[in-house]
Amino acid sequence: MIELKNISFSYGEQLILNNFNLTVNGGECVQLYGVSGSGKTTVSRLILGLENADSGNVIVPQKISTVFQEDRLLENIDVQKNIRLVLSKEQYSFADSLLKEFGLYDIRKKKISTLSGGMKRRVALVRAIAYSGDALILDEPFNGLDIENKQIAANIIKREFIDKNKPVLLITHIKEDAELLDAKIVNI
Amino acid sequence: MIYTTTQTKQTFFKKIIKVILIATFWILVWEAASRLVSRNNELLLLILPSPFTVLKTWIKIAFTPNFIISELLTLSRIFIGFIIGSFLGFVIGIITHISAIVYSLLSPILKIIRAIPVVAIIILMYLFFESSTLPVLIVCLMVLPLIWQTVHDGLKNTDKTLLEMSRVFDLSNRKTLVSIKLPSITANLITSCVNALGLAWKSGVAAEVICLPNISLGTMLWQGKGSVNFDEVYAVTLTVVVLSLIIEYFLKFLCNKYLARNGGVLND
Repeated sequence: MIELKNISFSYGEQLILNNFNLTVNGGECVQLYGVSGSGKTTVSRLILGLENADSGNVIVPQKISTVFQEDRLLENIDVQKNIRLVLSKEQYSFADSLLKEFGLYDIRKKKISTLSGGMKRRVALVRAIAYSGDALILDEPFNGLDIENKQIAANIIKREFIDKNKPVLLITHIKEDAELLDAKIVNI
Repeated sequence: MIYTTTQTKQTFFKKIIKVILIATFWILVWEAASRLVSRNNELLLLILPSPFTVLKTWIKIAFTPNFIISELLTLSRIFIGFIIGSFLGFVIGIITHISAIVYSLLSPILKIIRAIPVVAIIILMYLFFESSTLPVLIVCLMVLPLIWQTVHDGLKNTDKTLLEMSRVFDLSNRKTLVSIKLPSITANLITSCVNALGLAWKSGVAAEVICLPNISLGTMLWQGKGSVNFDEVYAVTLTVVVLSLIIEYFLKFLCNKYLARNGGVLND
């Protein structure tokens, strides 16, 4: 479960979150919906431990998978090495099977710098899913993907997280993406 | 854009012709200056000889055993100093990045070494070291701070978003260093190595001129000056410049090969 209780957070003088509450139960997908600058990404950074709240409590599992708003891949190494970098050896075969499902297996030896935006996004998704965290945070995960690949990604996320009773937090302003994951909408 | 072999060859020949034209221009300027200076007093030809006289002297001495051994010994001293300095600079750069205490302890020393004029260091070190090993030490001391600074600053300025990624996915410090931080400094490190090599040549030969090892190009420079044989001084200087340019060219060539494979290009 992901739980944020009475969170306040500000960047310098600017108050971003004021007594914000959020609960994402296991087996549930919640879409955090809001306009640009409303603090959606700040919420994900608080959950990932990249920011500390001014006040309030953040209760999260220890191991969290994430797809950042940017791909955050290492451009000069290949697809497979990028994914394996964050995995233990036991997870390699699972990662390879995900690469096949995402249609990336044949390009696993290609450097990230040679891939299109959509391909990079799928690599970032495979990395997050293969990491097998106890929760999944997705920040605009389907950017640059066509509807077919969005559907494939959504099905795998449901199978690997929601069906396994793990919480999924989806940060996006695209309602169609949320529908693919049957997400419950929470406004921020 | 696709380049054909013919286009590549044309670019290469254009480059060669450009280099030849520039060299010819400066040789003519040198010749003119030499004639101008010696017009009223032929003795001044000793101080600024004609480039053709220097070339003749160079041909005369270039293939003598003494000169070849001097070249090889000077090269080896500079090379050994450069390798040791680069290696130590690299290792210390990593250590000072990891440990703030070691950084606080070492950074003043390294900054002082960078600030002290190289001649002062040579004279001070001459009190403690043999004349044949001193040039190695001086080259090492000149190269080390440059490489250290590049490694330390490069590691400090690694892409923050990738470091956050490594934190979230719980990468070990070793994995973060080897897979994220070190690759991010490669291009700057290579540029620094090329710059350090130029510095190594200047300081290495300067150290040889001051401490006069038995056989070296620096010693030949000093002896040429002592015997008012400036043709030889210019010929030896020419050798130093040419050797330095050839080695720099090969280092750049190797680095460009490496960077081209990894998505970057070294500036000229």
